[in-house]
Amino acid sequence: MDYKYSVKENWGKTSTDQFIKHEDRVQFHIEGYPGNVWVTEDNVHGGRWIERHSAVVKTKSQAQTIVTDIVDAAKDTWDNDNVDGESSAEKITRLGAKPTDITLP
Amino acid sequence: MATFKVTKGTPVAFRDSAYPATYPSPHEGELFYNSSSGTFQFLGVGTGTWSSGGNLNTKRMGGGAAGVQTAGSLIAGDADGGSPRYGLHEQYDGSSWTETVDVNTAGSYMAATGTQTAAVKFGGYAPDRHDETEIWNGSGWTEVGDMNTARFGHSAVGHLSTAALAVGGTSAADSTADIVESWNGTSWTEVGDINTGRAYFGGSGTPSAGLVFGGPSSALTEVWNGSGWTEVGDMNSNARYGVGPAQQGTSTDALGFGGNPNNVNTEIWNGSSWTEVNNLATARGNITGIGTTSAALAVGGEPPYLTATEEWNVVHALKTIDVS
Repeated sequence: MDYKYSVKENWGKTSTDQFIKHEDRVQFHIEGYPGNVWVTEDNVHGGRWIERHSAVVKTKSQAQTIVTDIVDAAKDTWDNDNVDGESSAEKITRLGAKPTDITLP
Repeated sequence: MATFKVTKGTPVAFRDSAYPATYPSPHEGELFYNSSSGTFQFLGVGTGTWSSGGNLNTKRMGGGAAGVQTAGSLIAGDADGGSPRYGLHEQYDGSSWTETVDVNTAGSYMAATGTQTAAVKFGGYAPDRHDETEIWNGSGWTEVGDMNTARFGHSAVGHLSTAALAVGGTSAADSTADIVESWNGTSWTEVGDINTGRAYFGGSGTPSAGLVFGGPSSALTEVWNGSGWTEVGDMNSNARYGVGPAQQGTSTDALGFGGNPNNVNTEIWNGSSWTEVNNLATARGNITGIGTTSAALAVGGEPPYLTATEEWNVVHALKTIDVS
């Protein structure tokens, strides 16, 4: 499957509209990543979704850089947030799981 | 006026519009002639997908859940970076979240159940495990009888504020406890242990017919018949740290979604096995799951900490038969 890459903040839902609609999920593949990066199937429906939201189109490399920068920053924050005497399990409980690398499809 | 046409001797319903795709439908699989479009059509099998819901006011993970998709509650949970641990309580009306009265004891990795107007939340981490139980009456929280064992990362099994199980979690003695306690609206009583201790997992069903599933690196599923737990079919994916349940599901009709690391998978339990269905749009763990297998919410989660809500809805696909 070929993909397109774009950036747009997820504004969720209003009483009359949805950022991602049920019919979108039926018509094309879409997946969200850190940094408001969206990976959409490269077909007419995915293209219309990008147009509908005026999402900023990126290359795969550009999109990957956005995601990686955010994940790396989150990993650094996680690594540097320590409490004396705390076990690794306790740290995970306190902070949640350490962010892991993400590779865009 | 004729109401049927006959095709090869079989009467076919004649309609001037399509059947609505609302799920469930008594017309699933039913062939009909649509005079408006001049086509033969039928309602296909119901298919669930995730679409966008309204964003939370405050990004969070590990909160408690109560209610249904159009009247749900997110109770407490963690803010970004684990601090502060919120007592925030938000309610969903089907399109947007509104903040209401905070709980008395803030925390994360708690369990809760009930409705938007009558809920119970119990245990959690704030900043250490605790045993407090609080009841929501629609306007305020009241502390009631404590659990016997303080813990966090446990799961709720139950639909009401007056009847629930607190299953597993992380206690002082065991990071993956097998303890189960039953709540009768007033006090907690220990009942039969689960076979495999676990934390950060999903629960569904009631105190007389329950289901638990998932957990860190676990795909194990156990069913409760009111007196004992039995291991049944595993989930297909074991990356289920903080899997979200459709909490108002049953022991024979359950939905599990997401989990860390970076899991978008959604699976449906039919009483004997799990089947993969359509994925979440955004991967996340420590999700708060609300609702049923046909109408659910995936709320918040991490990493990174999210405000995003996704709505799971099952609808029928309208199929047109083309014989040209």
